[in-house]
Amino acid sequence: MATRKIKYINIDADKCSGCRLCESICSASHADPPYSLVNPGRSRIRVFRDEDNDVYIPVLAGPYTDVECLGRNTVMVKGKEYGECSFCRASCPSRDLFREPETDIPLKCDTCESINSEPLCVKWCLSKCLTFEEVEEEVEEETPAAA
Amino acid sequence: MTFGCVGATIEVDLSRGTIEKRQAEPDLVDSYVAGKGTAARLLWDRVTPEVDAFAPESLLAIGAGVLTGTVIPGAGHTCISYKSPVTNIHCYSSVGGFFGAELKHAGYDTILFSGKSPTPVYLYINNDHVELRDASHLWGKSPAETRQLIREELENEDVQFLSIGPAGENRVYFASVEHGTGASASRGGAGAVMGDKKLKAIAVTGNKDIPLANASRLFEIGNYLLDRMNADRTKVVELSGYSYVRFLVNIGDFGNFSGVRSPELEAEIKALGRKAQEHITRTRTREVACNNCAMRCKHAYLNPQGGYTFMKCQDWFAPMTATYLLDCDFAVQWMALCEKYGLDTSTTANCVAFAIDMFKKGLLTKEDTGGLELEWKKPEVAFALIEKIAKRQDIGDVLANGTYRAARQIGKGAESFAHDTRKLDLPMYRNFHEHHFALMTALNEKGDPTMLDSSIALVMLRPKEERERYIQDGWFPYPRELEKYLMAGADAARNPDMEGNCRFSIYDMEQYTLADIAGVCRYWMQYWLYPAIASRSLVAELMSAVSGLEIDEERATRLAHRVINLIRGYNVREGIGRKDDFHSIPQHTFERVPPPPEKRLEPAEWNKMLDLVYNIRGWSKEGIPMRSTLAESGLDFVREDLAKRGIPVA
Repeated sequence: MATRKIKYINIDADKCSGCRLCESICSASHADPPYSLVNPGRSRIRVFRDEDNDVYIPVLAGPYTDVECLGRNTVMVKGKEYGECSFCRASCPSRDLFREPETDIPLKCDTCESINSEPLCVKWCLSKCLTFEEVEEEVEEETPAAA
Repeated sequence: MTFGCVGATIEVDLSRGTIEKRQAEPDLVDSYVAGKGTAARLLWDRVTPEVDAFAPESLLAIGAGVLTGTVIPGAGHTCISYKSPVTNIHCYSSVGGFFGAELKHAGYDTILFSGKSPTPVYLYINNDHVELRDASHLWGKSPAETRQLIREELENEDVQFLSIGPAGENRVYFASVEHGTGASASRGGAGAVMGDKKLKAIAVTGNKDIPLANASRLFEIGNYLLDRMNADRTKVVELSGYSYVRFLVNIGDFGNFSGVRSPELEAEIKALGRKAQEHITRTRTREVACNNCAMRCKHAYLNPQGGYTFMKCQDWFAPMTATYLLDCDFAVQWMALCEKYGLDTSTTANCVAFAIDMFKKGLLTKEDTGGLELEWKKPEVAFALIEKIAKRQDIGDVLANGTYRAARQIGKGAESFAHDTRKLDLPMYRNFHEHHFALMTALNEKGDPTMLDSSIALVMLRPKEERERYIQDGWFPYPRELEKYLMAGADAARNPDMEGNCRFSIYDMEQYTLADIAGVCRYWMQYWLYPAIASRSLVAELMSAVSGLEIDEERATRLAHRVINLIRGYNVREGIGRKDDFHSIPQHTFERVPPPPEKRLEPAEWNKMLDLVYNIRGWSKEGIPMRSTLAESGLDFVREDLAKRGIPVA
């Protein structure tokens, strides 16, 4: 069996202080030229904040989808109610999140691979809400197609 | 295009309902840069002594700092400058949170309000779209309700706010401008000015890039600061425990600055440690931060009446010391109530304590209070008073003018029991006899020393080896020639060498002025218990990297001098002088003897300190900036204006 490395950014939402430094550093480091601007609107991580209900959830941009959900529900976790899209990572037609402000091109977290770096949101997260983990995972070897 | 949005201004004339967008004149940006700096010049030009704080011509300047909205940790501040209705001189209130950053993302760094709207309005900024919208349906609502209603109305969850509550609408002299998560611009009456202009809120959202002049250098320094902050942050963690609340209560003066503590009270303070520990473990849900900041100085607590309340520092000790009620849940509820009405917690505490004291002394009766029996240690009395103040009901209508004015309205000798600093209510500290603390009170135009004291006064008390290491490890943020004063240490009464102390205080004042121009938090500039995160040269370099203006340490120093002297000139023009600086600390500082080894501050000693700081600052014995000082700061127009008004400049 062969192995491959899988990168995870783990989120402990209880530790999030809602400072949004992850958004700033993400947008800046992925800018072209690098670090030429700051704009959370371009960030591949967003913090959903609802201070009245003590909800602070950093969400990493996931895959793009061109359809939106039909049945959206609220979720109860540890006695707190979370809204319709609170944990959703998708860039979808129902919200203008995780898309470049001018071009509408969907954004997706690449764990900073495209800029050859360790995940910078993790490095700059001083509340240790975001942590980085690399896991070796076994994968089935591709077998040559039967003759 | 300007880098860092520096100088991009929206000017709103509320009387006419007009909105003008413009780029500030290059000269203005060059000389005063941003935030408190440019506002100081605009106030000088436009809010002269003839203009009352509540006049239509009066200006409310909201300025994000140069670094606000960039990745620099701790740079999230917005400075609100105006003529205070309380002190009648230049005033500023700084607010953290996310407003300034969002304003920058909309493409602006300054909003100026003049005039008075005939009906309640709020300003909505969404990138290039700027409009005044009707706020009649929001009038009377709390800042939190306002926030919720506007978000629903605009169908936008990302909007950031500055908003007043009912207290601001009623022109309570200490009404705050609330932002949320415990961030507010409280001291000085910014909320009253906003309410007078019938401006309920400012809502901003934007998704533009903030262009940076020298981004790679900015991020290099950002990385460095991140490490420093990590090291500094440990101090906050140490403080977050139970001893924190007890420590805070201990620096407060109980009742209406009674200056006395009974043995029973001392025992209660001692017992508060354990009580607070239990309370924190049970009800603290989160450490919350302002934009890009790692300090997480505000903590969310469960309010017994529902919801979450954000507490720090004075929010704990002001309610407790003002009412002798050492109860954490009570402080949380007090804070929540002040946020609901949009009131400054600290001044509210002073007013409540003053009212109860006057009632006990027989200067106020049930007739004045609407039948309410005023009593210490009663939460229901305190909450009823807060409501009366916010709504200006019976005695509340008097107290809402602050204790200085309230005492004069009550008369019958009440004046001698009111404690003020430049007519502003004194925060309830009991350590004005400490030289550094006293100087920081006198040196700043607001009079309030809150968030102005600095850790040097504490470092001074450490053993010699520790002080040496402090310098070696690069935590000493002052010029090298001041090292000798640190090494000389403090005397038995905890006071450093007088000249050294004056120089430290002056340097601190300059640092805090630069902080309000740069938009960084006071925690950066070695406030209270925290070693400085950045030096002046680093702040200068950062401002330069964001804005593209050539700013080095020397120019930053000149900038600080210019702004300080301009604001002083402004206040001199309003009639401020040496006597006001002398009396900026309470009279009882010269009368009461603190417990040994601390010593009473003697008037002669205090006069000598003022002489020294005036001399170093380049001000005359009367506290008026001298001709040469003004010329050096490029402020000849100040001299000319003062001369025209018959104020002699030496």
